[in-house]
Amino acid sequence: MTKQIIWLHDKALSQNHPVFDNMNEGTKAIYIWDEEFFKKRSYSFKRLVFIYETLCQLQIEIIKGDTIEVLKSFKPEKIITPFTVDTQINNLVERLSKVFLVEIVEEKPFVNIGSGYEFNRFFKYWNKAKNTAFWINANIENE
Amino acid sequence: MQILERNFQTRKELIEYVKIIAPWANGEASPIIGGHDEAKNKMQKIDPVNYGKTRNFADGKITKLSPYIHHGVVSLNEVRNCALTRCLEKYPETKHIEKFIQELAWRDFWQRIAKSHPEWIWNDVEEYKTGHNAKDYSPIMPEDILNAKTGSSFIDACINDLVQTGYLHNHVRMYLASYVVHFKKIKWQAGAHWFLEHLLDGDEASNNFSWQWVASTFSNKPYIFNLENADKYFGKFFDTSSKNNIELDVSYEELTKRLFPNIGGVR
Repeated sequence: MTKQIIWLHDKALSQNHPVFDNMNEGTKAIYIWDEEFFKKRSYSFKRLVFIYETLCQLQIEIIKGDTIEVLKSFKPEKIITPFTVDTQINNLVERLSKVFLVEIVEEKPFVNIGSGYEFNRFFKYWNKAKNTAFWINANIENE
Repeated sequence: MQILERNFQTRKELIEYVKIIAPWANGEASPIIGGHDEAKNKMQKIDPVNYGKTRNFADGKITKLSPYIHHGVVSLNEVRNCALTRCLEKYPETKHIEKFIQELAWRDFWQRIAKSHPEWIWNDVEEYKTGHNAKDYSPIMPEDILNAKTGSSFIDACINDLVQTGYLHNHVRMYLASYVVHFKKIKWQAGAHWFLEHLLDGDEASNNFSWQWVASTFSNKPYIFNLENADKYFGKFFDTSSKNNIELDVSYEELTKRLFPNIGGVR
């Protein structure tokens, strides 16, 4: 049994993602090369090569198979995965959440806007965003 | 379950291996190289100040970092921090790098919208402001566009770039989206799907909301262009001659009448 699995998807292919912050000895980091998932997306060959070149530079295992089945085979206590807005990846995350404890980890924010705001035009967002957009790490550490 | 190879001597070997593990996928590899090392190379070359002045031109100081940002190879934070570190000592006023930071912010904006309204990603956020109804637009991409045989040299060259490299200058994305939706009257969803298939940085949020911005289903008016505009920004590198681009060679006044006859022009 593996205690926890970091499951990377193709929207967060970086060793610097905060999903790796709690990595310990018992943690396995994997990417699943899921044929059916790629076919549903109609990803072109050039896009797959780009993803594979990126994967080869990460300290992770690349496993071919069905995402849900591969993750089940590890019988993990917890799956940790990066947040994405991608609808099809989120469908997979939803299915996984019915079987496993899934922790979703967000990237560090680009700007510090606070919660409760909704914008439907860019410049309304920008008027708020520009207060922290010109600071290293959006000045969040200094707050 | 099979553990896949990670070590290759050459890029050619890696590409051959991907052919074996992705036999269904169409096309050839892009000249754009994936990975963190290449992203770092591109980060070292960013020129945020000149980006602001030249970004709309074919040979402007754009970064081409979008495939790496989309795949999370580098974060918006990392790119912004790099730009600030490089520029603020020489240019302490933020106005010099505002356009660069703003362009990163567009991606952040679209991601936030997608997070709060995932149902908008594939649906019209608002009605078309073109005088046409959504049902007036075809859901099918026509063969002449898919095969880059539209009769416009400029448009065909843009399509070939998309298919061969998986990358397009942002201005070209707007031209192509405008051509598909407004000149050809195709639903933005069909065009967005076509882009997602090819673009290395194809991102449901940024891509689809940008198509909606051009279409006018998530903006106040449709985005249109003509040959004069294409020639100004891309004429150095593409065939923007009148004789090979008859459909585009028209004034904005005529174009708005032709494309949006029900509202008598919206530009």
